[in-house]
Amino acid sequence: MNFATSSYRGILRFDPRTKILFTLTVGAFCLTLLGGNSATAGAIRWALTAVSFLLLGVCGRVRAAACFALMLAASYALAEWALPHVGGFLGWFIYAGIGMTTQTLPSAVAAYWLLFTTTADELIAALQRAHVPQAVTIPLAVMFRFFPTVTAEARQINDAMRMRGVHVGGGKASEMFEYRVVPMVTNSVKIADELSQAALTRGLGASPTRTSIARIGFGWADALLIAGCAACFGALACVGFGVLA
Amino acid sequence: MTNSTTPSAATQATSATPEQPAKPGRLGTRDYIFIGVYTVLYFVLICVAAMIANLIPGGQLFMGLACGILGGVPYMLVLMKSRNFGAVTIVGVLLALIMGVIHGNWYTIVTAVVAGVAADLIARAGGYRKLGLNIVSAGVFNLWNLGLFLPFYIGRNDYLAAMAAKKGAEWADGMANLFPTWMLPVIVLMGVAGGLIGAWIAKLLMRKHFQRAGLV
Repeated sequence: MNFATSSYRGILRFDPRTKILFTLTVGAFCLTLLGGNSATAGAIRWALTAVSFLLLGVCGRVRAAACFALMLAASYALAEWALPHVGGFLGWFIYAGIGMTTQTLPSAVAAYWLLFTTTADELIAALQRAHVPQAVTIPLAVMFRFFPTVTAEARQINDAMRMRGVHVGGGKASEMFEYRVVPMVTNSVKIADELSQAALTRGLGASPTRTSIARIGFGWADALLIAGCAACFGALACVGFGVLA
Repeated sequence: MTNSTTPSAATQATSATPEQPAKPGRLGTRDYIFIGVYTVLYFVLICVAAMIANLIPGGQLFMGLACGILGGVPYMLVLMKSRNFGAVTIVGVLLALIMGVIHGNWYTIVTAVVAGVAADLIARAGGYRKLGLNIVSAGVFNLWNLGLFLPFYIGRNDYLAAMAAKKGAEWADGMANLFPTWMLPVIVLMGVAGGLIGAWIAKLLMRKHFQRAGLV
């Protein structure tokens, strides 16, 4: 949930809508295992995984991409060599662990790439261009504005309560929930009140078309990636019609 | 890259709808801002719940329960603050966007939107004022996080199954899906129970703190 704070200025610039499309494609094939176990679906999965690792690496997170790739390789190594030899509960534990890792990792990599190359501004501008109503974009914008505030607030309440012995093992653990959540909520509501007054004064919600300085728009890279995603779904349709295995 | 379409005077006149006092039965800009704030609170609290659940081995099963208990307060505040149809639906759509679209999980998109609309309809049946219906709607809403688990119940991984089959056919059959099938109803039940408990706690806190402070 940590969006980039400054916009990405590398060579491979994508529109946020393209990034979302790509992440959803990776999710559809790798996470929810669209296409079942046909050979084509397997090939698509490998291709999408490779592309998402590549994008993460090219956009400047080489070390993170390498770490994730290592994790994926370790999972497959474990599946190949360890899984056939252990049974019982431990076997199930390894099985579930590997299954969850191999299923979630590709789309997690794509999501990571989406998050760190996109600023909140760009995402909201893109959603507005995609005609998402204000009922969704305004709360979303508020959420991005508010996340740091709430976490800072929570940390300070945490400190204050720790000092008064309201923490696990402090003798007042039962009051933990009440004494932390209530101040957080009341504080946030006060801040929200001021925020909404400020925003309404500046005309938020007055006109349906708001302008943005976020630089979004489709380019050659977008065309390439969209074509790739379309090809994945096209190949799946071919499997459905019996053209491909 | 500024937007060059300057709205004409006519469209401006029609589009400048009165926003400040939200009309009864409609959500205004003010409500949208509050929904955003409560969704952040909800999000922070369920993150805490997920962290606690993930620290315990096997605790992931109880994630729905923990999320429901901790998320009850912001959820009930959303209901009580706006008392109009749409507020809970928007929270559902926001969760679908953040947990589903950004992470590529189609199941979460579906469950979050469906749970949001269903919870909203249930609460609306009581005019957002009947405590019993509000608590039930919190239980239903909490089912949105089912989508986070569904890929591992529905998805069947033949590669892993083949690897496990080398150990023994009947052992591998037991693990055809990543988790046993009976676990799904248990998780649904725990999710609903978590939502109900959370809403009940929220009700107690509401009376003790928030109503006195004039928040709702």
